[in-house]
Amino acid sequence: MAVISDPSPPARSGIRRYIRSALGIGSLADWLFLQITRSSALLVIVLVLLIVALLMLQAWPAIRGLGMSIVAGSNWDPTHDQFGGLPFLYGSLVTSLLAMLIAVPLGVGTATFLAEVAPSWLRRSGSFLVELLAAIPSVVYGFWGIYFLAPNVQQLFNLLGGPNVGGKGLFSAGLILAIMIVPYIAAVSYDVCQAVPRAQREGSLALGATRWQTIWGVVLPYARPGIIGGCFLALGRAIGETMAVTMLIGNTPIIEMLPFGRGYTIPSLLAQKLPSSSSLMEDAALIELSLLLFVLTILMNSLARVLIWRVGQTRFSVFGLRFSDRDKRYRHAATTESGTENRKPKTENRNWFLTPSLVNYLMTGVLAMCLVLTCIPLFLILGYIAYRGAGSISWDFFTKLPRPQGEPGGGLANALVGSGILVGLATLLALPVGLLSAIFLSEYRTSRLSSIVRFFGELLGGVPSIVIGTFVYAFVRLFIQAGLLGRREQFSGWSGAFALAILMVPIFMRAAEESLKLVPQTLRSASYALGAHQWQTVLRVIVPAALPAIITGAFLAIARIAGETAPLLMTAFGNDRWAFSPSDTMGFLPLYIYQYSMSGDPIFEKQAWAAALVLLAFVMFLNVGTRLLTGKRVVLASRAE
Amino acid sequence: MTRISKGLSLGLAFLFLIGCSGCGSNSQKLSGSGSTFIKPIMDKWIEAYTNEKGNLEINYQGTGSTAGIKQMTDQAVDFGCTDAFMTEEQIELAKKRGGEVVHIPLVMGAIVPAYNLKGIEKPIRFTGEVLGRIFLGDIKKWNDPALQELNEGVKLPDLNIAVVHRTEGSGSTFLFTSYLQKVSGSWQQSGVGAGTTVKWKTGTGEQGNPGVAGFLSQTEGSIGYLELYYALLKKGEIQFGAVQNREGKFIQADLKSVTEAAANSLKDDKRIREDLFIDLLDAPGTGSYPISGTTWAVLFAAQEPQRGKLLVDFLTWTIHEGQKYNESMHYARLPDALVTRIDEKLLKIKN
Repeated sequence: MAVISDPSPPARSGIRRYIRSALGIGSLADWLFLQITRSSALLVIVLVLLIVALLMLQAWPAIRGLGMSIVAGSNWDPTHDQFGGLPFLYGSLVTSLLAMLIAVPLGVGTATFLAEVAPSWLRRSGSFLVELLAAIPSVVYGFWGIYFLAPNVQQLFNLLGGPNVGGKGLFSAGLILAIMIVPYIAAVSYDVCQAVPRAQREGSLALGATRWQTIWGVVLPYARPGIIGGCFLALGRAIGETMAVTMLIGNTPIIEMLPFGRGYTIPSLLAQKLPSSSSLMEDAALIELSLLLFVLTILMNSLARVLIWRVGQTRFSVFGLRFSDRDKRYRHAATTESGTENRKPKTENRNWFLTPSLVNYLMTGVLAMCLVLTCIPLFLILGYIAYRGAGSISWDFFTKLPRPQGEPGGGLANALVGSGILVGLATLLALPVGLLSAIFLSEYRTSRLSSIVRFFGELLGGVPSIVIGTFVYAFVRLFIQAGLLGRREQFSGWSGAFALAILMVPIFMRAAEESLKLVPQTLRSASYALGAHQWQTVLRVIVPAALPAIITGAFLAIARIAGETAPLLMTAFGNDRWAFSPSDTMGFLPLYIYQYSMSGDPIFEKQAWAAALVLLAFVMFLNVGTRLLTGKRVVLASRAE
Repeated sequence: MTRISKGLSLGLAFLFLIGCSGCGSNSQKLSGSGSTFIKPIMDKWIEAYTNEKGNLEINYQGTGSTAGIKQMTDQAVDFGCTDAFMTEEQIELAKKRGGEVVHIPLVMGAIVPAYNLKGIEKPIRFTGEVLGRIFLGDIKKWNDPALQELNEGVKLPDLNIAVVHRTEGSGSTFLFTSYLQKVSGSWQQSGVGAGTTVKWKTGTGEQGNPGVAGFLSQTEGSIGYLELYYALLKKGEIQFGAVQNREGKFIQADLKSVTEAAANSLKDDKRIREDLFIDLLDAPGTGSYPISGTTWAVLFAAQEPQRGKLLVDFLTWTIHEGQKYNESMHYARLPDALVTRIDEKLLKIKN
C-alpha cells in the first residue's frame, strides 16, 4: 500500500511543515486539486448545455421557418422545401414500441428468473451472457439482421401473404431493436429485484405462498417503479439506435402499418442525409429533428431515473423502520397476499387443475424460457459471425489496403489502424476528464454541485450517439464558418475521436465513481491520520486502491465505443488509404462492416465477415477478459480490510 | 499493485501510444467523394496512379452524387463526382462559396435494370413503359401480362416484385428517373418526375449502388437499377435485362452498346453543351443502349497552386492513360473528340 513518507529528517520536516502552513501551500494544493476536479466535472455540464445550445442555434432557421410542420407534416421533399418529419417520428416510435412489447416481458422474465429462481452458478453465468448481448456493436446486429433475420422475416411474410420487401421494414427493425434492448431492461430489473428486502419474500413464503405467488404478488409490485424506469431507459436507447435499424427498416419516408409496413427513423435519416443535405434549410430541419430526438431521450431518461430512484428510497425506509406506514406498496403487497391465502380453498374448488403448485411450476418454466429466449440471439449472432468470419479471414486482411471492387487480395489494414487511432485518441481525451470528474463526485459528494454533475452525466450517457455525431459535425462547421478551421477540416480523425470521447466520458465517469466509492473509509482515515493532504490521500491512496476497478471500467468503456459507427460517419468520414495523422479523414472497421455487408460483392462480403469477427472478438475479449482477470478483486483495498 | 493491474495499465499505455502515433506524414493528399457509379473504376485509377507516382494519397469515398457535390461546394473535399450535371441552384451556391465550377467528364457507363430471379437464364426484356409501371408499383407480379408479353418463351414466375431504389441523393437515380420521364407515359402522368431524389411510390430504399446490389442478391424476385459493373459482381444471383431502345431493338448493356450510344449522341449538337453537359439517354442508333450516362468530376476553377496542379495532373491522367482500364471494368472509353475538349477545359483551371 502506498505510504505517505517523508525521507527528510524529522526536524527539518517540522520546519518545512511550519513554513508550508504559514504560506498556506498545503491548503493551496488542496484548493488547486478541488478546482481541477471541479472544472473537469463542470465540463460535463458545459458539454450537455453546449449540445443543446448548438443544436438550437443550428436548427433555429427550421424552428422559426417551419413551425409545427416538422412534426406534423408527412411530406419530406427537400428539393421543394417540404420538410415534414412525421414519417420519421412515426417510424422511430413504432419500431421502439414494438421492441418494447417484445423486450419488456422477456427482459423482466429473465431478470426475475435470475434474481429469484436461478441457483447462484446460473445467476452468475446467466447475467454475464445477458451483459454480453449489450456489448455487441449495433452495426454487427445490423449485419446479422440482413443475413439472418430479414430472409426469415420475408419467409414469414410470404406465408402470411404479405408483399415482397426482402424482409425489411418496421417489423424487422422492431425485432432487432428488441434483441438489443433486452439486456438493458434485464439488467435494471435484476438490480431492482435484488433491492427488494429479504423480509418481504420471507414474509410471503411464511404465509404459505408459492415462489411464483411471491414473485407475482410481492417482488414485482414492489419493484414495479424501478422496472418501469428500466423500461424507459431502454426506450430511450431504442429511439436513438441508428445502424442496425438503418440496415433493416427499408428507408422509405411513408407511414405504413405493421406488420408489413416499411419506414424510416430519425437516426437513419440523420446518418444518411446530414452529410449530403443540399440546402441550409435542409440542414436546419435535420438538426431540428436531431434536437427532437435529444429531447425525447432526455425525457425518457429523466423519467427512468426518477422511477428507479424511488425504489431505492423505499428500500431505505423499509430497512430503517421495518414496517413503515408510509410504505403503501408493502402493505398493498401484504394484503393481496393474505387475501389470496384466505380465498385459497375456494380457488381449489373452482379450478382443481390449476393448483398454485402447478401454476408455480409452469410459471417458473416460463421464466426460465425467458432467459433461454434472451440468450438464443447471442449464440446465433456469435456463432454465425464466427462461422462466416473464420472462413473469410486471412493474413492479407490485417496487412493490405482495400482493393478496387471486384479484385481479390485486399485487406482492411487501414481500418484497423484508423480504428486504433480513433479509439486511442478518444481514450486519451476521455480518461482524464472522466477520472477527475469521478474524483470530484466521490470526494466532494456532499457538494450540491456533485448531484447536478451526476445528473448531467446520466443525461449525457443517454444521448444517442447519432446526436453526438450531429453535434460534433455542427460544432466543427461553426468553427469553419468563424474562420478558425480550414474548410478541408470538416472531416478528420480529430473530430471522430472527439465524438467518441464525448460518448466515453459518462460511461467511464460512472464506472470510476463506483470504483472510488468502494474504497473503504478506513484507508482514507488512516491517510488523514498520517497527516496527508486531501490531494495526497486521493492520488496516492484512494486512486491506487481503486485502480484495477478503474482500469476495468476504462476497458469496458473502450469496448463500448470501439463498435460505434453512426457518429463517425459524419466526423471521421472514411478513407481507403493509409491515414496515420488524426488531421486526415480516417477509415474505421465498423464503416467497412456497414458498407461491405450490403455490397452484393462476394469479395467485399468476405471482408465484412472478417471485419465483424475481428471487431466482435476485440469487444468480447475486453468484456470477458476484464471479468475473468479482475473477478471479484475489483478493489484491492477491500482485501486489506 | 498486482500483476493483473500492471498488465491492464500496460494495455492502456499501449492504446495511448497508438493514439499518439498520429504524427504528420509528409506525403501529398487529395480527397474526393460522391458517385458510387464511378467508385470501382475510381479505386482502380487511384491504385494505379498512386503506385505510379508514389508519395501521393488519394481518398475517394462513395457517398452518392449529391453528397459529392455538397462536399465539394463546402470545400471539404478537393473534387466531387456526380452522374447528374449540377443544377442551376447548385452552381449558384457554389459560385458564392468558391467561384466557377468546372465539370470534367471521366467515364461513360450504363444503368441496368437488375433483378434476382432463380432459374431464368435468358435476360428479361423491358420497355421504358413497363419499367416505369414496375417502379410505380403498377405491375406487382413477375408474370404480369405486360411483362409476359415482352418475354415470349420465358416462363416468368408467379412472384411478387420487390422494388429497391436508392435512398440518398444519387446520380444513378437521376439517370434512371430521367430516362423514365423521357419514355414512359405512366411515369410522366404519375408526377414522380426526375431527380437525384424522388418520392417513390413503392419499394424499399438502400444506400449507394452497393446497397442496392446487396438487397438484390439477398432477395428473390427483387428489381433495382444498378451501374453495369455492380450487376456483374454476383453472377447467378444478380442478372440484368435488355431494354428497348429508340429504334425498337432490345439491347443488353455492354461496352459496345454504351460506346455506340455515346458516339451517336455526340453527333447531335443538342446533346452536348459548351460546359460539357452530355446527354446520352435514349440515344439514337440501332445498337445504342438507352440508359447510358456520364460521370463528371466537379471542382472549382480557382485552386490553390500546389493542390490544383496535383488535381489537374490526376484528372488529365484519368482521361488519357486511365481510360485503358475502362474496358476491363465495363465502362466505355471517352470518345477522342471529347477528350480534346476536356483537355481544353482542364487548362482553364488556374493553378
